[in-house]
Amino acid sequence: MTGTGSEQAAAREVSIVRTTRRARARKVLSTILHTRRALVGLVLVLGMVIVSLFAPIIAPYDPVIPDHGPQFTPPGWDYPFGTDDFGRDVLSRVIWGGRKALVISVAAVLLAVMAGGVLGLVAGFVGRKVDQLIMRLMDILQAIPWLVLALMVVAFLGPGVWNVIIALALPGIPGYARLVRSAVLEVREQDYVTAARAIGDGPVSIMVRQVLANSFVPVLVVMTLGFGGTLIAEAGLSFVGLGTQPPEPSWGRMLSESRSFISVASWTVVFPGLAISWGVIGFNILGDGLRDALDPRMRDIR
Amino acid sequence: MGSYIVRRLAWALVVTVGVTTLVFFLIRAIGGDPALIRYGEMAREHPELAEEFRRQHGLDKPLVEQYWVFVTGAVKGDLGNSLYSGQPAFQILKRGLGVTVPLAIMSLAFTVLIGMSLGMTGAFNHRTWLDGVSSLASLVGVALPSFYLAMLLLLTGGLWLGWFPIIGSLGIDPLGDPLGTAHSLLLPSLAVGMYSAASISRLLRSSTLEELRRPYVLAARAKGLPSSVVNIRHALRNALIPTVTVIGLHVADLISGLIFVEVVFTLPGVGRLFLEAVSSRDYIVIQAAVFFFAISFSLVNLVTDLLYPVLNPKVRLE
Repeated sequence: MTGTGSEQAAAREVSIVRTTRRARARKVLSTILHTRRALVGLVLVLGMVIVSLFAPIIAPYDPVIPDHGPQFTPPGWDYPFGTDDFGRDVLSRVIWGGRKALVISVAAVLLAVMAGGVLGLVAGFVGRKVDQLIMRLMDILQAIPWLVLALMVVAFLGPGVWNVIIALALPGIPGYARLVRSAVLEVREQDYVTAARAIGDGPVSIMVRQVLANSFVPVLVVMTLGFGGTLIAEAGLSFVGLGTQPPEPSWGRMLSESRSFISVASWTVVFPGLAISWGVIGFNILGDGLRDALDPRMRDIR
Repeated sequence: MGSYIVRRLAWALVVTVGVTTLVFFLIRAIGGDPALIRYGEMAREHPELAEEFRRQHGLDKPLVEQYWVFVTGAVKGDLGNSLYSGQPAFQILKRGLGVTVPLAIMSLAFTVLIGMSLGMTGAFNHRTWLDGVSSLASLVGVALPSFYLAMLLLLTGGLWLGWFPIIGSLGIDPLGDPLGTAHSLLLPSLAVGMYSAASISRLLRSSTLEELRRPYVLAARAKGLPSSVVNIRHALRNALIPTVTVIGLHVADLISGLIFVEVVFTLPGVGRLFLEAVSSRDYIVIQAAVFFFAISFSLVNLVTDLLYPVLNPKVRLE
């Protein structure tokens, strides 16, 4: 098809949208960098990401082989976080455990966003009975405690990494489905969607593009907060013996193993837990900061 | 008002039935064959053993029929017999309730008390050091997993200070010795309730601040009402509406916390029973525990729904 007048107009429109979008992205980035709260969160999260990425270089000892030190050495120069019942360096185990936790959490949150997003799109656009059915199902899913759901999935399917990811993703789905659905409902009523249809965009592309643009900010904020929650959940599953399997180090398992010698080696309890809190605080502050930076309505209240 | 209550009651019923049904079919879809787990290698050599086991527990019947047996039984208070001990699941559950019910009530009380005081402190002292302290407390509270907080409390309050029992199961007798029970369950319920308290305080703070910026608050101040009245009877009351709903939804998180904390403090409650039932694939006990969780969730949410019209008279008209 040759370039018709309307297509050229649309292309012009698109290029305008693109430049404004780029300008907006720049503005958002600078807002984040100038919001102290978001910056603190970003530093904490980046710290965790960098330590995880370079775990093989940073970790002073092997996290699994049980023979580099005397057992239950208190924290000191040689072992900053002390050693555990096998004489393994707790610091190295915390570092390697974080690497695994981070990968699993990111995968689980992405899976939840995708599944929730599709359900929300379908519910919002098809409407009526399908909408009712999907949203009631989401309500019921939300009424099941996450641990109950996750425990059954991992216990029954087996503790493989993928099953853990599925188990951690399931409880997050209703939240994203609701966000995307409400974005669909809002977008459907907007004049600019009618306008987009008038300049020849098909309903499907309108749907996807506009809805994604509209739900991007809230979904991003909820995702960032979700990473923190998923870190806790991953540790929780390992804590009851169903997440990462030994001898692989994981924060939850380190905590549950240290339960039996809590009175002689309190450092084996304190440090893995501190690592979890570090990650969760980082993601939570970053999420709050993102909301402050991206959602102007919230700025004065926080 | 009447139709509102009826609607919320119907909704509580739908959630209870929905959750129980979903879990009923989920365990049967992915749970594998409990007979094989019960008899292990023996089931391969003596298939008639597994056969007999399935027949005895009605697991050989079609799914729909099993479901019908479960529903009709549950209505009469019969949740079936444990696949392992053979005891009625209802009896097994009842033993755990003596621990879990007081623990849950205390956890919920801590959630509401700590959450509301932190949130109000922050909102009414906006941008002062008190706001900073309460915001920091809720930030840390959200980042402490219940199982970690439980271990820290066990370490400090139980081992170092020696103020609280380390093995929680001792001295729990809610009817005979309520004070002793409260003492034994203080640390566990604090560990369960802290996460929800922290996240509720964040919500209450921001929604109160939002209300304080509305024109009606300015009007109330202009007409000379004391600020305590404006803060509490006007702003807080409206801010409580979203908060109360979220407290109800937090019951699901509290139940997850209960399971962890019962493990850390070795409390013989429903959470531990559920965990053991999952690892031994005792379908009947899993179902019974989930049924109890669903009823608790629906009941608390029913109560929060009924608080709505009290807080906001407009709801009554709907």
